[in-house]
Amino acid sequence: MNASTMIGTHVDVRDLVVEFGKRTALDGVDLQLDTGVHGLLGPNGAGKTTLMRVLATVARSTSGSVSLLDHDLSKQRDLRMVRRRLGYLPQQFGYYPRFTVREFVEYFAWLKEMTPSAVPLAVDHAIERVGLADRADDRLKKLSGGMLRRAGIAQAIVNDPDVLLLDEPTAGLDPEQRVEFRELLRTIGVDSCVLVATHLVEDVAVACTHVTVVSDGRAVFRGTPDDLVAAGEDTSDGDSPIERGYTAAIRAARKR
Amino acid sequence: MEGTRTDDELLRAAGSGDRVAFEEYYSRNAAWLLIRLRRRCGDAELAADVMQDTFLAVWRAAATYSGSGQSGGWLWSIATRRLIDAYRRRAARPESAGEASEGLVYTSSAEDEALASSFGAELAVALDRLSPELRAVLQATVLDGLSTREAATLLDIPEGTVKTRVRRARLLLKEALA
Amino acid sequence: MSWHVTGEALSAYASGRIADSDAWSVEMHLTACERCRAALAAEAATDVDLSTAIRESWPGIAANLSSQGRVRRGSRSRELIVLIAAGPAARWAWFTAAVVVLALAAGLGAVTPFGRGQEIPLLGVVAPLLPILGVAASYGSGLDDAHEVIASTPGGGIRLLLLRSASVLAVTLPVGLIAGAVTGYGSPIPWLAASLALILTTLALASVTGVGRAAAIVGAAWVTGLAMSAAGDVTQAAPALLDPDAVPVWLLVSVAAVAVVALRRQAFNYTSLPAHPRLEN
Ligand SMILES: Nc1ncnc2c1ncn2[C@@H]1O[C@H](COP(=O)(O)OP(=O)(O)OP(=O)(O)O)[C@@H](O)[C@H]1O
Ligand SMILES: [Mg+2]
Ligand SMILES: [Zn+2]
Repeated sequence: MNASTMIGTHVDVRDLVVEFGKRTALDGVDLQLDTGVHGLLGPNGAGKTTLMRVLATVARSTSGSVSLLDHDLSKQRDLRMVRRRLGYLPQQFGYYPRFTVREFVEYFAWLKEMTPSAVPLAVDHAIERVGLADRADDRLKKLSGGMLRRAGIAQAIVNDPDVLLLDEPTAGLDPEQRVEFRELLRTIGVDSCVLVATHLVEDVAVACTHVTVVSDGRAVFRGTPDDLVAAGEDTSDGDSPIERGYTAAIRAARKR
Repeated sequence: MEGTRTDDELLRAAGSGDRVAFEEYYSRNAAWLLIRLRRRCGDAELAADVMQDTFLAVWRAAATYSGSGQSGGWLWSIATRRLIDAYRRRAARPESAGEASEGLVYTSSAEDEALASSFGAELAVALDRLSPELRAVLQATVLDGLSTREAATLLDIPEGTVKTRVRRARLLLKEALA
Repeated sequence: MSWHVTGEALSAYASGRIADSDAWSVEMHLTACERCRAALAAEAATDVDLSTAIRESWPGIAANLSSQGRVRRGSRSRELIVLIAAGPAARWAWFTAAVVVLALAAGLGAVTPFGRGQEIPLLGVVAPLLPILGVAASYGSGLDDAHEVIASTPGGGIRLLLLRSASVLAVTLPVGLIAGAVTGYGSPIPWLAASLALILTTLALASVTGVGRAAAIVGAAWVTGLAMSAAGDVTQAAPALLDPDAVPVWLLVSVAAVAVVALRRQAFNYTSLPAHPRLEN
């Protein structure tokens, strides 16, 4: 998709199918992602979270191939290597209320098998990057919803991941925090692959270099935010140019 | 100022909140850190910013330093993380795209003299014969201990290029020393 | 250190008029040598540009020296503590449970209804159950709020499970031994062997059903088995499952369970559950 494909792809998904009983959540998705910030848009139930969970190596695919950082996920031996270089913030993100922010982030630094001497500095850095430095020793149960989400983001970036998966990360963030968060995303996207599932079309317009729209388990649009805007030029549904593009992409897919 | 405490001792004291010790640690270590950062980024203002970030991180993490006599490497490892961060922030700003590569490849001046080499003379000659691009890559990966990805970010070149340049530089050095 | 950077080389380095190879060797040395770092600081003090930059940077640092917070060193022992103690919200639930139940068993010398007139301390029945309950509570993914993220980490699979199982055993077994000694309940070997076999069987079964369900199944099987063996042979002082003769059988079961865990270890790589149902707010 862009010029730097020469190193190999960070995320390479081919014909991915995920079924839950009779329901097909993903129905033949193809996706190749490199460094940059990639937006994942789609209506409720489109399959965004399902895709994220497969990429996070948490859920298994029914068929198709998925490789991360040039490792095939079906090879169990590579799984561990890949996981060390992953960051994941689930949509429904559970936490330990009695942990402090610092303990929480440290916990995941250990789970990600970081070198002991690197852990304290990495924890400090991650907490600083999400703007929670002054709350580092507060228990999670004392944080506001938005701060909690930032603690979740800190956990995801503590290992400086090559692939960062964020499922609805801006839910609950105030406008100022959202602006700072977009800045952080762009910074991370300079040399990592960031995939952000969201409903907030303006997040995508501002922070993302690429967009994928999924609908009913299929990737129905791939391109830049500008491409998506262009796709909506003939529609009047939606409040912003990019929203119109999004609506048009979904409509076109449903007609097919 | 000739202190009686070692850097390790100063760090430990700083770790328990001693600001005086920390200021002394700063006065002893700011110079080499700043010079080294300037050599890496060729931008005095950015180097000073990174140095500030670094010392703030050192203050917060001082209590976690557990080495003996390794505080130099410890400090530098913090500084490189912050430097890479600064480059990422710079690269993330669309208006300044491309600016990052300026001043990055260190160019040795005309007054080069073999002054200090603790390497063998042959290795020094071989190193100096490498092209600035190859040297920059070796410097980032070998001397500064960066990963391929970090070196790529710092030098603003693709990861693949870092890998091939390291390989080429190693090969050239081996030939020169053979 | 016997070799140090010459004053000449230091000033060449400070001013930037130095060959790369020399700069490299200076830098390598500075990283390791405090004395030369200090010498370079003195050298830099004579350079207007450098000394100004260094002086002007300090106030910005000094103004932001907030209190440092509860930072911890990174070490293998710290890793163990964090991973073991970081169970679900009720971090020490299993520990307290073990202490309380065993204290009850020991203190009251309570007997089970299994013995049909013989005195079989509750301890022998309960103690082997405790480790599996502890493992279920500290690892069962349905109970761990953060299981979704944990499942995506390299250290979150079988390694964490074994670590937590070992830590639960390490706490409950000594407590059980002490309680056993206090109550004067025969040799602890049979129920220690049973404990080991039960927890390993739980782990083996967990590779198929998940930890929570495995613990429930094994726990229920244990209680049922005890009741049946006690009912079957009224002449025995202890139910057959806790008889010294059963020890080799328990050990065999343990070995088999270990083999199953080893063969099926990859099953622990994924979570069997959907994304966590509890919504944060
Ligand atoms: N564990 C599961 N068991 C059964 N069905 C599931 C499961 N997870 C997801 N589904 C179904 O798969 C489809 C896609 O769900 P998914 O959560 O991926 O959507 P989404 O795009 O993330 O939606 P939202 O925007 O609401 O978060 C839905 O129809 C959902 O009901
Ligand atoms: Mg979702
Ligand atoms: Zn020296």
